[in-house]
This record gives sequence, C-alpha cells and structure tokens, in this order.
Amino acid sequence: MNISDSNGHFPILVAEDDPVARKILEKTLIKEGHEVVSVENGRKAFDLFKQRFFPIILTDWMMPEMDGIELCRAVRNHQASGYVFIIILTSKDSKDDIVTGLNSGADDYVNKPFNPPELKARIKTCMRILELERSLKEANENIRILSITDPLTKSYNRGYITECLPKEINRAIRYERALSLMLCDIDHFKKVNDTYGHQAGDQVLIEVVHSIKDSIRQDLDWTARYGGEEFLIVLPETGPQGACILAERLRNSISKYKFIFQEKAIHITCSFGISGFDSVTSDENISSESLINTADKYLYQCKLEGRNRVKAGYMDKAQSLKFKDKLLISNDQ
Amino acid sequence: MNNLAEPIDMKEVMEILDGDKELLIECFDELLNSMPQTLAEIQSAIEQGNASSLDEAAHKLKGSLKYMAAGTAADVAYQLKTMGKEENLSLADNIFSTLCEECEKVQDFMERYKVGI
Repeated sequence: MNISDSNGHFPILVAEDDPVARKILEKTLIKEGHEVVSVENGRKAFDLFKQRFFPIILTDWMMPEMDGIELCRAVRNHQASGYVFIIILTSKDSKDDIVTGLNSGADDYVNKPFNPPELKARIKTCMRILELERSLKEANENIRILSITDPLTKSYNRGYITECLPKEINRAIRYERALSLMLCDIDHFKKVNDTYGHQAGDQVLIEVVHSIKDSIRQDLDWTARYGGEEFLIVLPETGPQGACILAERLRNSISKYKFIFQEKAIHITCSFGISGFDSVTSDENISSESLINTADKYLYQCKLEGRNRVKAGYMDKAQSLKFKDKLLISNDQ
Repeated sequence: MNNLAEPIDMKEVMEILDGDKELLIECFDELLNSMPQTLAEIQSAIEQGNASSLDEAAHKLKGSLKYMAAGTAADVAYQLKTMGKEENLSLADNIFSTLCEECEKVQDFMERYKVGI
C-alpha cells in the first residue's frame, strides 16, 4: 500500500482547537505540498481516523472533548493499516510533560507557538521514517512472494501448498462448498531433458505452467509446483466433474502443442490425477494429505495405463461412516 | 508598526509566520472572526461559574493571541485560563474586563494594519 503521492507527500490530519494555529498549520503544510485535513478536537480527529487512514497526525495537547494525549492513546490502540507518526503540539515544555506526551504514543513534539521552518523540518523527518517503513514493507512483501514462488516457473511452490491448501479445504468444508485438486505430471519428462537438454526441459516446464494458468480462473484457482515436473492445481468452488472437464481440455491442448526450443519442436503429453468433493461436512478424513494422496493414486493409474489421460476420484461417504474416494472418471486415450 | 508598545509585536509575528504576509492577513481575519465568539464563551463561563469552560475558552484565545504575538492580551487570557483550571473565579470579572480592553486594542491594531497595507 502506497499512501504517499508521487512526490512522497503524505496526507496529514491536524487536530487543533485554536483557529489561528489551525490556519497557520494548514497553510504551512499545504504550501509544502501535503494534503491536510483539520478538525478542532481530538474526538473529531479520531472519528475521522477510524474512517480514513492518515500516516501523520499533528495534534494540539489541550483540546475540548478529547485532548492530544487521549488521541495518541486511541490511535495507538486502534488497528491501523500502517504506522502513524504523531507529533504533539504543546506549550507545555517541562520534561515531565514531554515524557507524558511521548509515553502516550507521540513520536515527537513541537513547542507552541511553532515556527514554520521547524515544523517543516520535523515533517521531513517524519516522512523519512514513513518512507523507511514503506520500503521495509515492500521488501518484506517481495521476500514473502519469493518464499512462496517457484523461481523457474513462477507458479507457487510447496511452501504455498502447505500454507494455503488446508485453508482452502477448511473454507470449503465450513461453507459446504465444492473443491477439487488436480495433479498434473508431464509424461516422460526425463526424455525431454535427455534428448533436448535441461534448458529445453526448463522451457517446457515454464510453458506448461503458462498453459495451466491460462486455463484456470484468475484470483480463484491456483497452481503450484509440487515436484520436478508435477504440478498441483487447486480449484475452489469446483467439483470433480468440473475438474475433469478442465483437465481433459488441458490434456488435449498440451498434447497438440508444439514446444519450440532452438527451432526444434518438442511434443509432450501430461497425465492428470484428480480428487475432490462437491460438498461435505466436517470429517477428519478430508485433509490436504488425503486429497493429494487420492489425486496421486489416480495419477499413478494414468501412468500405469499408458499416460496422457485423466483419472478422477471423489470423496464420498456412501455406506461407510468415513469418507472414501471412488472412481469418477477414467478416460482412456 | 514594529513598535514594542503596540499590542502586536510585528517583528515577532513575522518570525512566527516565517515572513508570510499573506498568511498574516489570513490569521488576522481568522482572529477578528473568532475573537468575539471566544470572548462571549469566556463571559458566559464566568457568568455561569463554569471553571472548565473558562479554562478551555481562555486557553484557546491565549493560543491565538500568542501566535499573533499579542503578548499582553495573551498574558491576560492566561490569567483567566489559570483561574478556570484552579477553579477560582473570584477575580474573573475584573480580569475579563482587562482582557476585553486588551483584545479591543489587538482588534483595532489588526484592522488598522489591514487598511494600511
């Protein structure tokens, strides 16, 4: 989230009951290029802050209804979307008062009547700190993305599966919604590496992921590299029947696709093992492990029966008290 | 108009405003607009014996006067603020009269300044 404008200015919330001081604050800060919203007491400032995030708050100390100290505490106790730099304006300048102000959550203080150049300098300090926070957040987000991304194919990695698949399953069970998993494995991938080299193999992996990503719903379905040439595709709100249609479409398009590497055409096929459910209630047998194992079992059968095919099972309670998977579809090519 | 005997110390106020004359006029207008209302609030607080309202209103006026380098008037407002804070309003009437006189001088000075520019 970038809350500063293109010139690095941040919106500032001013709480000041003295109209003259408020005017000077507004004018000084607007001249510096900031967006300023000013109110006449801490209560109004906090009400506004709850509706809209302000990364900088300049507040007077003594105000009716809610003073600056109470405002600092309220802001610090509020779950804000980012760090709020609070500067308290005060004519109180004894050490005890300053300590009270800082202990209540203020980051800095300016004595009244303030001098505009001093205020501008303080705001610049505060902008440096907020900019540092922004760049740290951005770096953290980049690290987070790297930690869940497969570097070669840019699909998600095993870590993401471990983190997110249980959540998908829990959500589907809680709301009694459908969910399917697909394991897609490139047939005879070793031959691709052996025949055309590892760079060609890498290129095939990348393009298979592109094909998968192009076939699934953005922002809902997702794919992750499960193993070397094996990909897991997670399809929330999709039962095994729907997953079979998608798998068959993918299988067909990949089998007809020519992967071109250094002017050589490479043909590959993929096998698909599917597991899932249309709607279930909570049961200990439905887990990431059980769903992946089931998909893997059908993928293994595909391999045994000649590859380039789709096999699917679904989780069904039937006669047993426990969920068991049952063969739903087996398309033989 | 830099005479220290004047109700507003122009040298000081221009330092506070970093030499911004446009802002000075806006502040004068703001104070001219808000001062009668704030004085009315102070008077009402004294009449009702409401110490905390006196503290708040006198504090606000003192702040504005300080920014405008109206030292004498600000000091008188501060006396009233202290009375409110200490909940001792026995001399508030007299001090309020002095405040009104000082504020009138400030008001007059600001109006004269605006005409003179």
